[in-house]
Amino acid sequence: MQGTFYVNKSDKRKIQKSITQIDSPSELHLLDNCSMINPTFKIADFAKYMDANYIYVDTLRRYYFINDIEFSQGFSLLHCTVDVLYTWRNAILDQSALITRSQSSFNTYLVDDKLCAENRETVRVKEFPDGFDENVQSFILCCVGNTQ
Amino acid sequence: MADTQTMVLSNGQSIYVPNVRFGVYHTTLPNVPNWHNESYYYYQQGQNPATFVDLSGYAAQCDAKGAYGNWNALYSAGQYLRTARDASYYDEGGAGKALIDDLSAHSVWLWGGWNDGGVFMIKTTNGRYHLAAFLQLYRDSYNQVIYHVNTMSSNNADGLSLSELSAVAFTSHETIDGFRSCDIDYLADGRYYKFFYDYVYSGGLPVDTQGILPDVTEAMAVSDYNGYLGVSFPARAWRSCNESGVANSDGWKQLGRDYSMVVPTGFNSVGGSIWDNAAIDGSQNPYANTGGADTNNGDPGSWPTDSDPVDFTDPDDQFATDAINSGFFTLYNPTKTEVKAFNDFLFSGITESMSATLKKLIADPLDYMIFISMCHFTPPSSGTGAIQFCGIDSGVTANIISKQMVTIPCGTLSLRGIGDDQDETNSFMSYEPYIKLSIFLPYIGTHELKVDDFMGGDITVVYYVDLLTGSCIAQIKSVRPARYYGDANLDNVVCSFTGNVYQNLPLTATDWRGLFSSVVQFAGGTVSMMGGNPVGGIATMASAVFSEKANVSRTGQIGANYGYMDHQKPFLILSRPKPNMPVGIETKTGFPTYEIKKIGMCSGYTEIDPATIYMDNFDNITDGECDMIKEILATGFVV
Repeated sequence: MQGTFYVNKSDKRKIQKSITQIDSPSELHLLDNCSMINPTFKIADFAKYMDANYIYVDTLRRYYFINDIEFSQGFSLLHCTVDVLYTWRNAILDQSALITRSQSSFNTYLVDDKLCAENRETVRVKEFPDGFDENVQSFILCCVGNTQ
Repeated sequence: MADTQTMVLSNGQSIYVPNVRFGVYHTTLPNVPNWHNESYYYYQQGQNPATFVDLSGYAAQCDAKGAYGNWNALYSAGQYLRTARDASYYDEGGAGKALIDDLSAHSVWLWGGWNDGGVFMIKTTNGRYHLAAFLQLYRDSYNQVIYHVNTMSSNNADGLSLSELSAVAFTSHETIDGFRSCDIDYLADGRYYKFFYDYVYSGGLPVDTQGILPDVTEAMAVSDYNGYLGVSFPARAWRSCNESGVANSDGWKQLGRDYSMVVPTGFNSVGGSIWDNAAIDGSQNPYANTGGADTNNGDPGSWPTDSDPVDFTDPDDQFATDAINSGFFTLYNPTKTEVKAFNDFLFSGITESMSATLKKLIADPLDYMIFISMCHFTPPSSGTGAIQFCGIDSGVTANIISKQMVTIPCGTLSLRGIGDDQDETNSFMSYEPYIKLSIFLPYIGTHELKVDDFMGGDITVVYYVDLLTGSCIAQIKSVRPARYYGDANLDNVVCSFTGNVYQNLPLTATDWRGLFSSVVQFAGGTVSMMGGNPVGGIATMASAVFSEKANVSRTGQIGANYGYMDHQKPFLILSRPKPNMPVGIETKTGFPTYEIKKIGMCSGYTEIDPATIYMDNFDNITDGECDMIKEILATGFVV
């Protein structure tokens, strides 16, 4: 199977990866008894791909993170993990789902339990412009009967 | 039901669709900055129907079909009609400037009249550079579902066919309550896009409301349409015009233009209608927003949105008749000097002859003085007059109070989100339990208020004081415009508190009766005064009178009315914890969304509820990888 080597400078959690291909694809061999998700590939001349940390395997139709590299005489072993986000990026982006948190579209009136607040309170006082007047001291006298 | 059929949308919703097509128009748009909403009316009552709709095509078609007569008949019958074009667009205003690259960088104008729901069908045949961003912004701004239909078979005149409609990928959560045919246009340099749609608007028929829709594909008397006034139906219904329509008995003839309507099932008419047989599809959300506008963040239910205004007490009405001038008592507003003079009259100036007169008139002279108090406001006066005591002119003149009830407005404070003094911070933190709101009311004390009653509006306090008792009631009113679709406009007195504004002064009392008895018994003497604790002391009198040794009591409560010593204006106390929000936190954790949408419509940090994603159309994927995707999407990823 053919493997195309890349330098991936994007975080694992990004669907869209910024990857740069290194050299031309190379022949890979899948070790026995390994999984599709965490395969190990054997490659003869890894030296020219020493900067690579990412690989696309055509037969498996998957992109893989290179987790670790074992060097042996005449070959190298690449321990990988599938990048499910980038491999199925188009299908993922096309899916509708309940978005619970987002950087781009959010409702600030939903309670955010991740928001941290200090124990100190901000206290504000707003006085009404009018009311009773402390400078006025009136007497009220009430007597029985009419004035006239 | 003629020319109407049922179809099932891709979201599983059953709808009735008249057998007509959606139509759209292009127009030349002005170039003005920022958000704009426009409405053009092309025909109104009083205009010549021949000029009806001067858009190209309308008049010609009316003419071609001889429809003038029909319109004239409607007009003559008082059923004037007009068409309208509503449009909305955003323009950066700068040539060559990129449009809406950063959604958060632009304030958005909301036009209330637009927030009435519907699904916009956007027809373009080419994807413009910023179209997706524009659609997103528009959707976020207006809470309307917008679909970009780029597979239309042709342009303006043909509209969207049923097959094309059925091909639209509605998501399962969306309940479609209507469609608007509309179009989008753009300036050549990509500086703005514009939505617009046309509809027939009738000022004489119910419009701009929600709910029930008659079958306008069938001939129906205009009077029958009027019968629907009480049940209301949307303006967009009137965009239903069937080119092959048949004139009805009142001359109504559906215009020969490709308007359309779509009515969801379940919109049954009051009193029976053509939609009576509509069944609620089991796949629909039974709690969908019946208002229909806030399609993606709807109110689960149909909580009524109206709120009756409850105003302050109107003193001119409620206190039109009071006890003033009833003859039983008189309220005076004396100055301190006048009080002193009256006191002198009472305790120093009563002559022997006065005593005799008093004896004739009354048994208990002090009953004639009900109270004397102090307060921190000026009571209303109708002029001056002599203070009458026991029917005797005291010779002391004072202001006479003209009304029993006094209104003391305290003014208004804003709790809106305006300017630097921003209380409504456009977030959940502006509401309970995060913000606490209390009010100090003079003579009443401090009370906690419900933040939701006031936040985002104005709060006004008015006192009503009963001068006969000093009792007061402070009414608190909230004027708060609706804050979201479906919210009620508040214009209400929402709470009131009571207290007493008088600082009562002590009166010597109980033994006045005996005192005055002595005065009369010992003719020739003058009224004396209490012994042990004289308030005033009457100047001269016989020793026998002094021996009466009247006991002193205080009929008026000295009254621990601390309010008289306290602050005299109400004030609000708002408190909330200080948020600790690191700069850039939105790129790390995002903010709560709770909205169903395509993941591709998000950008930046995103989280989803993994239970809500169906792993359809994921080719060549193992179950373990599906779980991996769900786990990553649930714990946070970056689009």
